[in-house]
Amino acid sequence: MEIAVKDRDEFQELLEGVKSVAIFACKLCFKEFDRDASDELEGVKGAIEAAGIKIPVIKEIDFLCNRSSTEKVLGTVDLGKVDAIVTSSCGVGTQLLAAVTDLPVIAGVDTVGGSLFEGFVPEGETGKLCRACGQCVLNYTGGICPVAYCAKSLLNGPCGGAMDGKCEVDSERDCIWLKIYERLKRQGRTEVMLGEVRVRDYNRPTFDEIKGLTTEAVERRELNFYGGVFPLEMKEETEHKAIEALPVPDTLVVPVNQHIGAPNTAVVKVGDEVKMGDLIAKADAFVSAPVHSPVSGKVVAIEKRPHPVIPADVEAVIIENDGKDTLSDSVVPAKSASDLTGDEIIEIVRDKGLVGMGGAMFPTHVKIKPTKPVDLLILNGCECEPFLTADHRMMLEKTEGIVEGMKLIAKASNVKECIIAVEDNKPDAIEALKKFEGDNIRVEVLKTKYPQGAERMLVWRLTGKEVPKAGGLPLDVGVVVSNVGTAYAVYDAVVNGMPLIERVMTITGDEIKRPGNYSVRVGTLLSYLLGEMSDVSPKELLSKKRVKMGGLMMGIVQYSLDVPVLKGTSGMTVIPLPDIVAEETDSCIRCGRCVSACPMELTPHQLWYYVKEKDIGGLKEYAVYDCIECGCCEYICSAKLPLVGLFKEGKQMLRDAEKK
Amino acid sequence: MLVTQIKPAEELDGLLPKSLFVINCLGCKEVFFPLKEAMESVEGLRKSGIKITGEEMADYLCRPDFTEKRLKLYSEGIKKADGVLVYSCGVGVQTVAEKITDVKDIPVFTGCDTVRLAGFAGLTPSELDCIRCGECILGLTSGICPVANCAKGLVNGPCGGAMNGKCEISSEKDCIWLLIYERLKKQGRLKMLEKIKPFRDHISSERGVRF
Repeated sequence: MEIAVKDRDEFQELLEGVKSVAIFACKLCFKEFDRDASDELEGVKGAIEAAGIKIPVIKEIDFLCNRSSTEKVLGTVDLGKVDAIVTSSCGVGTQLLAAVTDLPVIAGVDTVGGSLFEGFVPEGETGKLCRACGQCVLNYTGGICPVAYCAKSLLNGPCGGAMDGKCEVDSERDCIWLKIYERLKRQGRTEVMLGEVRVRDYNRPTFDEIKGLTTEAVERRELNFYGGVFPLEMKEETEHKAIEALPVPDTLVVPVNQHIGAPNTAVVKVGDEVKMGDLIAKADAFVSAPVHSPVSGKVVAIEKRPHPVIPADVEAVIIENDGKDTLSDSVVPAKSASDLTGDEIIEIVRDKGLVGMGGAMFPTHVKIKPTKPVDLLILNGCECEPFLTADHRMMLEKTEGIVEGMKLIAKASNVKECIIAVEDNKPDAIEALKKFEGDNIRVEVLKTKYPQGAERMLVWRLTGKEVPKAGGLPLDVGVVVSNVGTAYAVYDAVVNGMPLIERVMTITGDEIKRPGNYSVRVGTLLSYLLGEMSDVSPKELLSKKRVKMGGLMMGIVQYSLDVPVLKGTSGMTVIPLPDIVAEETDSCIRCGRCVSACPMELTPHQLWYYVKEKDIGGLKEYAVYDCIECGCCEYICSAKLPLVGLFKEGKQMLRDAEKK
Repeated sequence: MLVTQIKPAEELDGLLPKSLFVINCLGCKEVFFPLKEAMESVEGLRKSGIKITGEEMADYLCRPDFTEKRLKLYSEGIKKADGVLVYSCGVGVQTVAEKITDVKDIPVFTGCDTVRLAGFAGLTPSELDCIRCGECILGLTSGICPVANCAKGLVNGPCGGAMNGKCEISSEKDCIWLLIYERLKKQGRLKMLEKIKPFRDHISSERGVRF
């Protein structure tokens, strides 16, 4: 973006009668990072001061054209003493500001760079312009645009006025028709230039057409919640595949900690015989969840093993499967579910080791225990991650169990109203669930958008309430959100006495023989999954592809075959290696797409800068802790920067600094 | 920002060689790329007897360094083809047309028409537009741009053709001068309308065009 400070006399004229102003300076898009708005800001400031006008407020804003952040800034500034706001910004930012404030807004700079130039990044970088004429003639001109580059925008050949290959209107410009001819000649196809005479249709595109497209684009941006992205869903391979039980491996590696909270200790020893569902690890602290044996067999080791998420080895109980699936004595139904009190339900949920199966693995008994009044229980059937269809199949095949589990949670949390939220890409599941609508239970169909299934976005979309940032929970606004898989697990725990030792996960992607939704025992190793599901050797898959535990966006790429399936593992997705990888030295180009896409309304590109610069103050100011690591910014980044990993680093940097 | 629409099949009739390598650009992901229509268009070409030697999904073809890398990755398929068909905005097509010589000097074709939405690439699309005329008069028009938003680009007041507040060219379009008038009135600054804005100097908005 190029802007040039206006002449001083223009300022005099524009600011007639004005005594004091605020300056809002946009930090501008498409600029080198260390070159911010300062040059133009200084120029504007100087001109205003020269006119004898006071400047009590100066604000620098990342992208002035971003409505939500500009409105926020306006909310934090005291403009009581100013008569007008002068901007240092392109025309879009200035107009946006003028639309959201009652104060007169005056542009202090001219936006330069040419009319209808579009080249994605500053034209100097691509050198390729498109006039968006809506009637592309590139097929007749060897891929060089005469509408953009011919001073007369001639479509059928040169005007004949060129001298020494330079345009007669602007002698610094090449005659573009000469360039077109040269390329076509080189390719032996000059006849393409000829043929029917082309006439530019200035009616195209029509205003109505553009307005329709703009409205659609703005709607997508604002749909359900700010930001987010629309990745290809990639669910066709598995959404129609019924859940199948995956054969159980000979060895299970069960981490003792599969929850957020206080660490567990193993309660078995090497050599112990265990039954399927026996307790093998627990902690006394309230915020913890016990772990049970997924098979019957023998404990052969208790040692540190690699983990699919934590970058360090963690304690695990290794069990040799005897193949019999002998059930533990503890796997018995509670007394009749309808006779249980809320507290008794919570006790069972705790004993059976239930944790959030959407991935976070937060102890369910803690979540559903109402320490504050709860007005609404939301069952999360969104499954917004591309590739994953496990929850979809659960909703279709285990509908009744899910609804019963939901009712049990509602009883435990003492909540009346229940909503089952499902994205509209699952019409069959919606139909199955709608049969259970009734008093205080309804199905809410949400338009598909990633990450609609994130708690904060879901609560916002359904209630208009904002879960407080920085550690806030839906409980703070009277809501409990639970994954549909967790709801089913609650039903299974209460009605059958079954602890959480197995879960449905989607196994799909490249080189997967039979993509589908499989019921897998916790503790099943990745090497086993890949061995069962692919003809390519697991080792080769790890190196030639990306093997993610989870889905496309938030799945974690695995580098070890010895990692197990956990209670929160929703899928295994095999995708190609990226074709473009950013170098260490590659820089953000400030295109602003990440700001458009971040559902937490953060400024990812600025956070990138602060991580690189190890600027703790900046990381704090730009709220790096608020990042939910959804991957929208990384997905859309036009510089292919590995943003999620960098923000994890940034959070650690801030944590370490705060400890001191 | 730039948005693409798939060209009708008839337009490509007779233009394309017998074998093609296809590149789809999913860049500008926050806007809409008609992937389904693009794939249907390619299917149509297959049915008409054209051999498709490869079909790839790329993004940000307008980043020359990415396109260079990718064309090399695609070289096997490109070498088997007599042409490359790109579904992308005009910037992406022109970039591929330039860089294709790194791999094989074959013609590059576009499967799309490109139109422009208000706002700049990357940022939230909006109805507020700036065409970078280089002579900003926003300070005199209460922060609403008539150069970009008036169908006739009038800078000194309305043409008088508006009906019910809507522009002559479309009943979907507000008369921007009416909006400017109303906002200036609200701000008590109607006097601004008395200032005559100079004729637009179109040269200043054309500076810097270089192939």
